[in-house]
Amino acid sequence: MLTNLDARLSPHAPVVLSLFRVVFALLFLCHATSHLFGWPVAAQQAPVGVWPFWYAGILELVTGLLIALGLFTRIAAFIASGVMAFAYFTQHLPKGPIPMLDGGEAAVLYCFAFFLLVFTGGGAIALDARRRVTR
Amino acid sequence: MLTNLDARLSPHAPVVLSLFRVVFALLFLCHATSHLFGWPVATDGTAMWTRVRIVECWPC
Repeated sequence: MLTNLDARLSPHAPVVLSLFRVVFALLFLCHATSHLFGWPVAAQQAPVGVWPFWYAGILELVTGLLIALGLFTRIAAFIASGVMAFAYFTQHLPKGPIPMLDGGEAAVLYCFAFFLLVFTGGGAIALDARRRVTR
Repeated sequence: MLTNLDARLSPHAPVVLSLFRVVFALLFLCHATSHLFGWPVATDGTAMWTRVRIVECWPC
């Protein structure tokens, strides 16, 4: 029965991977726009040039947009994953080793989700897939 | 160049998928144990033996 389930579900994985990519990218973009423009979380807005939050916002905005579009997904995801790893090690780990207690849970989730995208690519519905076909 | 990158990275996807699965599961289990046993976050939920409902947000 489970083999049957595998055979029925696996063909849809590339499309669902694209859905996963877009959802994570949109949530990630909310962090970027909060850092840069104070929306949706006004309290997270960083003044221009403040290290590391404003620079993080720029990197999150660029990589988030690229990942959402599925353009240069692997490279953008690698950078985004690195940004989140840096955020976890510098902002959260000093407060404690358990992500749920040090407030770094989102950073860990984003880091590993984007790390996965480095190896899987953007999925079936992505500009990368379109570029591959037209080439 | 990007095609080359695809060919080099894609074979490792199943292993990284397993890593991703384990990390997400461990973080998810922290929520489960907080709700059930009050660890690692004691105020996250209700220890199962108290029967007092103090959960204020879910998931959190």
